[in-house]
Amino acid sequence: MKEEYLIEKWLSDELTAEEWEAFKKLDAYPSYVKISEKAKLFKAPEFDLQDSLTKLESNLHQPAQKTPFNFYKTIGIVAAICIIVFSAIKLLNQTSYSESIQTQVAETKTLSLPDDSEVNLSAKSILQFNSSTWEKERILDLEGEAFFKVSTGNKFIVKTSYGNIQVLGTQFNVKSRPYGFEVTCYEGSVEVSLNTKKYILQPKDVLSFKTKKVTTSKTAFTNPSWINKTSQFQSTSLESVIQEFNLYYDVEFDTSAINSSRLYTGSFVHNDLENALKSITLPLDLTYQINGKKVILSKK
Amino acid sequence: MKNAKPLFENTCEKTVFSKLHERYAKDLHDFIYYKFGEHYNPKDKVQEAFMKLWENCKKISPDKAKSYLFSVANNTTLNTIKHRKVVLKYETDASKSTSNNQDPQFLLEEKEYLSKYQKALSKLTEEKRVAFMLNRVEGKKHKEIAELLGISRKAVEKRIYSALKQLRQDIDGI
Repeated sequence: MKEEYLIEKWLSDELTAEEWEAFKKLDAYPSYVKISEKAKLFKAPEFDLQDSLTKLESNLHQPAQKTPFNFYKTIGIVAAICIIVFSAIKLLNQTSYSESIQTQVAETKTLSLPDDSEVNLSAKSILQFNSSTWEKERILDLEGEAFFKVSTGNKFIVKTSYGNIQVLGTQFNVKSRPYGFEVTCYEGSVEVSLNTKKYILQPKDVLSFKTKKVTTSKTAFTNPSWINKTSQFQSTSLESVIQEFNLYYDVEFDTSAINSSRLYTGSFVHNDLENALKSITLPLDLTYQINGKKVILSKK
Repeated sequence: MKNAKPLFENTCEKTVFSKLHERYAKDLHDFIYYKFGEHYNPKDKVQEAFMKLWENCKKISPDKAKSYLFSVANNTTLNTIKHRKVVLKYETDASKSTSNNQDPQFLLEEKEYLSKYQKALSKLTEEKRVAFMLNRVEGKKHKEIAELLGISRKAVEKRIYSALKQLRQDIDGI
């Protein structure tokens, strides 16, 4: 009872010295002070008054009162209507447009969707969705790779150029690259539609579609490897490995001196070029030479 | 000053107009930002509201201008949305610079705390969030907020208090 009184006094900066002492003794005191302090981190962006005024002045036309001619008044009204119609159209378009999030080479992003679902977007990927119809249907368009933690709710669908993935609430990774498609389920269950067929994945199941063949396997991990900044491969052609390499490092490979269809099993890290190159070349008995942005692979 | 007889009958005077802009533009911006988030371009809404005011300057006396601006900005924003969760961004750089030499455990806790905070903020009703943020972040007095929003001081007090309570419940799980 007293507590409410003290807090309200504190919020309006009206605590007396005595009341301050009492307020400090409350169990919740540190918690409230921290909340009040940390609120400042959510401050609205700076507002530049001068900038706003300048913009406004350039947007304004003279007020009707100052212009004796009706002609100008009409023009003013027409202009105002144009502005309103124009901005209305712009605003309408804005809401019907999909939201689009994009990552560059070597960039990853974590974002939360309107329903608290979480998406980790890997390098060089595009994720699109429609925020205005999100509550009705949770549909995303993915080009690239992403790890989803979906909060429970109605259907959650990820569309890719290979097929659709549908879930209710779960954790899964989708990789949809030009050189292969792979869905890994980490929690719950996932339905993948691929070439008119449907596949149900249980936790730890991996479904891959490479060179027009569907294979299933198991994963031992609880997170996709790219979240920990490594890429892993199992008997994958060097060509595909290099394509993935280019997602995380801005380099260009010269493979003219080697056979790039050889199969590679292993992994490379995303944040150390030399180390990553060694991980690829050593097992295949190759050497590399870095020349600016160019990497030349050759036999030992 | 408040009771002084208005010098101007309408707002079609450049000096009156810029005065209004100087006095209310930032508050209007913060109000839209804390209520709807950054997604709806609070800065554009400020522009629109002032342009509307200018278009209708003959009909609106300076003492009515504030509530006119706030309701125009509010309505134009509402027109563009139905209902969407508001997620306010937090200043991660600031937390980094103050805690550069903190241990990773602390940094992790801080990050978790802020992410919980963000979720809790988006769960507040618009009214509570606006009042709370204007008071705690923008340092506005209860009386000022009451005037801006056109509600009673008591109502402002209630909103801030229950926002704080609810934030604590959501963040600390009490």
